[in-house]
Amino acid sequence: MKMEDKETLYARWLSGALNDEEAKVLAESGELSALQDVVEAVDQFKLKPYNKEEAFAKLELKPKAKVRSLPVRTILAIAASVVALIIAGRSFWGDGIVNLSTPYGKILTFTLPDGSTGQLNAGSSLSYNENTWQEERMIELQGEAYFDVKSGSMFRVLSQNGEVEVLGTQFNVRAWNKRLIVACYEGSVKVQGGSQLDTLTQGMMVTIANGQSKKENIAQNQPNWQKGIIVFDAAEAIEVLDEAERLYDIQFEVKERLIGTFSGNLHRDSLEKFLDKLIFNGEKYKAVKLDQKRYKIEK
Amino acid sequence: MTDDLCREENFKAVFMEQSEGLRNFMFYKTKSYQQAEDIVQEAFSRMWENCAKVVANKAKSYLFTIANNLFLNQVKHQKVVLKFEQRGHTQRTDEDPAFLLLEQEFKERLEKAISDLPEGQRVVFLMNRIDQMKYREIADTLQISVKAVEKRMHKALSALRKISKKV
Repeated sequence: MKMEDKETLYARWLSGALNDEEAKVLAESGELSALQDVVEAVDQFKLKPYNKEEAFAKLELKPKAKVRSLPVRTILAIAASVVALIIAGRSFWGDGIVNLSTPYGKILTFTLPDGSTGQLNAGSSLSYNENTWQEERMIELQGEAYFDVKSGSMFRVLSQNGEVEVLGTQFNVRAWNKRLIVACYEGSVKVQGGSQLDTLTQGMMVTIANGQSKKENIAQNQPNWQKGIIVFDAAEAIEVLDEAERLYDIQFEVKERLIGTFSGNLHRDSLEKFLDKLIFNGEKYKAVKLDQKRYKIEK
Repeated sequence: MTDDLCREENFKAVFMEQSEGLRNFMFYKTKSYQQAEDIVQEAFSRMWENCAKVVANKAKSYLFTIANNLFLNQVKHQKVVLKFEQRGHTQRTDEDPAFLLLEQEFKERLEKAISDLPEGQRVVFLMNRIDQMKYREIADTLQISVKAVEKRMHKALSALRKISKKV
């Protein structure tokens, strides 16, 4: 036996890798029984149990900083939309920041550098960095938008109310006031709102407000607003009026604070109908036209 | 998706996959469960802080390196004997009490002898016997050659076989 092989003899005996000659040498050495005793005894040893779940919980991972603010510059973009007019732009400062925004009453269809597309609802804006887009698909959103994401690396939407992460899918993000509503139409979506972390799959929607999240199923395969309809289910009066302002490109003047909720639909083409049905908590309100775009709300 | 360690689910998956092996490894080094588990917590905390810089398929070697550094930085390495629990419960009542005592003594002497092994040999030996890792896996984990693993294993066995069962 080579010297070198002797240095690993016991190890190879244990792993069953000895050749016949080596096995014979070892058997004749009289060392085998002591080795067997040791291995037999040690193989009865075990460690104190280790609770992985508990250990993981004790880590108390600090959430990763989510919302970063991008320097917002102005404009240009590509748009082809049946419904839309556009203000969009690109800065020529060489920093690659592209900022898109929609005026009240308009919807914008946009295409991102990787071919992902989406629509920006009225009165909303988004920005992204064209130069770093390849490394990081990240969008900062104010308001509401629908995304149809080409599969690829992580795609992030940051809003003031939380963050949405996907790889490739179709989803809608609505972040007005303190609420974040995300609906997933295809694939799956991860939503981080405050400390809440939710994963949505196709046909699910989550509403996050005041640190609480509520998941529900949705029947539609695209957001209603793309069809010019806004559906409210027991929505706060103020949110409904905000939405109506954006949808119809009007402004409301409200004397007293409106309290109450509203359930019903807003249709793009029927401002009059909406104004006729201003009922909050069962109480009827009137909208008095002040000029072309302004209305006063009163009892 | 699985390679972004800043995503908690991915991070957790790595934790579930690696924490126990790492804890055992650190136990073999420190001989203390408490110390081993503290180091594991610290190593994972650091990985979380640096999640953006760690590539998922390098997570294991990152963790083992960090843990090892933490171990080396700890000032006093206790001169203690590592303790094992006994597998199974083969408490046969017909066993001769004198024999049981002998077994118990043998276990304690083995524990002492294992504790006294040079650290490198102890780690290899226990990874093989307790974690049932193949020499190849041990070599990969410790980033040494299979041959080196076998040498350490041989030396460990060589020392331990001298702990005779008979007093």
